[in-house]
Amino acid sequence: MLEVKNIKKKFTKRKNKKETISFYANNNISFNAKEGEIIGVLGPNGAGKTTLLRIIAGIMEPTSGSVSIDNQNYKENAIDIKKKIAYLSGNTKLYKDISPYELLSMCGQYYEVPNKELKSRIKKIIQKFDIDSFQHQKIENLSTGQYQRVSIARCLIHNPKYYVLDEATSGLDVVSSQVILDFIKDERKEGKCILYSTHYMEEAENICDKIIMINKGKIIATGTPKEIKKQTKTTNLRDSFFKLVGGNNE
Amino acid sequence: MNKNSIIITIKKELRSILRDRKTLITLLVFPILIPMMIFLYSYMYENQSQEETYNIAINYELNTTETSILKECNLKPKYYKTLKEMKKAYKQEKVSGYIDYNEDKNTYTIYTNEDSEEGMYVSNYVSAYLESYNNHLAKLYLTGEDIDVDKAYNNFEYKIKDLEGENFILEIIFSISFTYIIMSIVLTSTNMATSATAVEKENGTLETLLTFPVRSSELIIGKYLATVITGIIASLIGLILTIGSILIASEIFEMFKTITFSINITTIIIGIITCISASLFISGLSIAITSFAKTYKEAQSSSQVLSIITIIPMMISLIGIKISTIYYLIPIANYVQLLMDIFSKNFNYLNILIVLISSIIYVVIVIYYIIRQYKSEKVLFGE
Repeated sequence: MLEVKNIKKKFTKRKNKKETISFYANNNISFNAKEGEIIGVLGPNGAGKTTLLRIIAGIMEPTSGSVSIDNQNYKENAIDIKKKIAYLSGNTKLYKDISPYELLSMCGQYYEVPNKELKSRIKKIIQKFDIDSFQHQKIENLSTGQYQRVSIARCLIHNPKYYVLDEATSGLDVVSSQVILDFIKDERKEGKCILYSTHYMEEAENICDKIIMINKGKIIATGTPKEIKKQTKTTNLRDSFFKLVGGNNE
Repeated sequence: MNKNSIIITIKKELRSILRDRKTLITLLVFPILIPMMIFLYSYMYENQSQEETYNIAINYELNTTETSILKECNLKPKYYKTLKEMKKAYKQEKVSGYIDYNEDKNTYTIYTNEDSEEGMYVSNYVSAYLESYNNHLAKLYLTGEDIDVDKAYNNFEYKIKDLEGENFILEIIFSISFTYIIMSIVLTSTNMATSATAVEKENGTLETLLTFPVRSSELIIGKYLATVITGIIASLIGLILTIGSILIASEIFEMFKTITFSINITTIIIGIITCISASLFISGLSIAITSFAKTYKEAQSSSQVLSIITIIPMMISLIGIKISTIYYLIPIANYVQLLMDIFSKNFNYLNILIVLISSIIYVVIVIYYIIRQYKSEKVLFGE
């Protein structure tokens, strides 16, 4: 189980040479996520989704509050927790000068997957994502679809229990997005927990078991897509979103 | 600290550098320039130091003694009837100067441009010729008066013995060579550090790296050690080429026969230790500087200051400023100076100790700083 408790993240920006401005990207965020659940984290740009997911993935530290996974927290067991998580975002890129095989091998080594197991795992993943034909090509020479498959493949190398996916489908065409969405569904079947942020409301409505809506660093709504629609008296998540955030869906 | 994570990071960084032509070229270009520079400079200096013969216009007839003195003084006389003709020949650059002899007053006037290098030589050579001829006439006179010429002229003997010490030619060759070695460390380290820090941010791979179960300190130590390794390789290639080139040049060029330098196992070992110290410090500094940059361009421009510092010792040695012990505390500059000292027999154990101890202190500070720096979200995300 993943538990996020009272997460606060304060940033300080320099306004000019003398003055600084402080603001909270996350302000008192708490929620739980269970195995086999897909949690959608939704919110407008600058709401604090990326910061929250980076904190959960252990890339950033919260100013206060805690994240614990299977009763372990980052302060004491950061390395063990990271071994259970896979993080993929629209911003995370792959090394271009190596091949998919070398990348998977390097990732496996970082996750301390034993050598023998690593080889068989790479073989399985390569087959699963149909990487065979280009496994020894440089990543810089791959097509967008191939690149996306390798991106997901590297997340699987350590067989994580939790996935943190931050706008992983943004900017991708329908085919490439579908690869990720299928992967999410498959992993849920395997009992994995997936935290998933997106701008595409229809996408979220279709695959998420639970939605957390964030605006200005605070949770403004939480529940199943059905519950949120009921709360906001709307027929789809898109309208719920605009109603909650205060924008106009015209 | 997890050694495994550090080793994987080192391998990753070295692999990316081996596949990057730009860094590979930087790694090799500067060291390769060293032998070229040593041979070119030796060749130029040797050619320059061979005495040139200058054409000189005269308006009087020469006897055999004068002719032989002029030859000894590297002067080739050309006879012209009048002063006007000599002036014309000088203007047409047929001669480098002219001597006007006034028979009535028995005076010689030398005309040449003493401000030019050629005129300076001509002026000295003509003065030497006239002095020598004057002495010859004096000896003739003394012989005619039945006076012992030897007693009058050779009252004492004197010799010039070349003493060991600073050697201008060697100092220039060494200062350029060792500056190149340290500069090759600076260039490869900054390139490597840029690729390991700023380029990772620019390409978006740093975020991927941070998701791995690795401490940021392990990541940065891995990146730092990979940078150190490339720096050491570049500097050792440079050092080997410098020593080899000087040994070969000393067999080819005559000028090296009067120059004393010190290439032996002790100096080579101290040289290697100096190069390793330089790589340890410069690599840390490069990482510290480039970590703040978000792009390759930004990192390259901010690390330029390191290259500028490297040139300072070369300038100091060319200007000929005397340096004090405190100078050996100035990082980067002190490595060039120490290498020059070691191989030109200016062996001072105190200075070596100062450089090595100060290096250890600087390296510890810089490692502590980069580990702290890599924990900062401002450095990692630029936010």
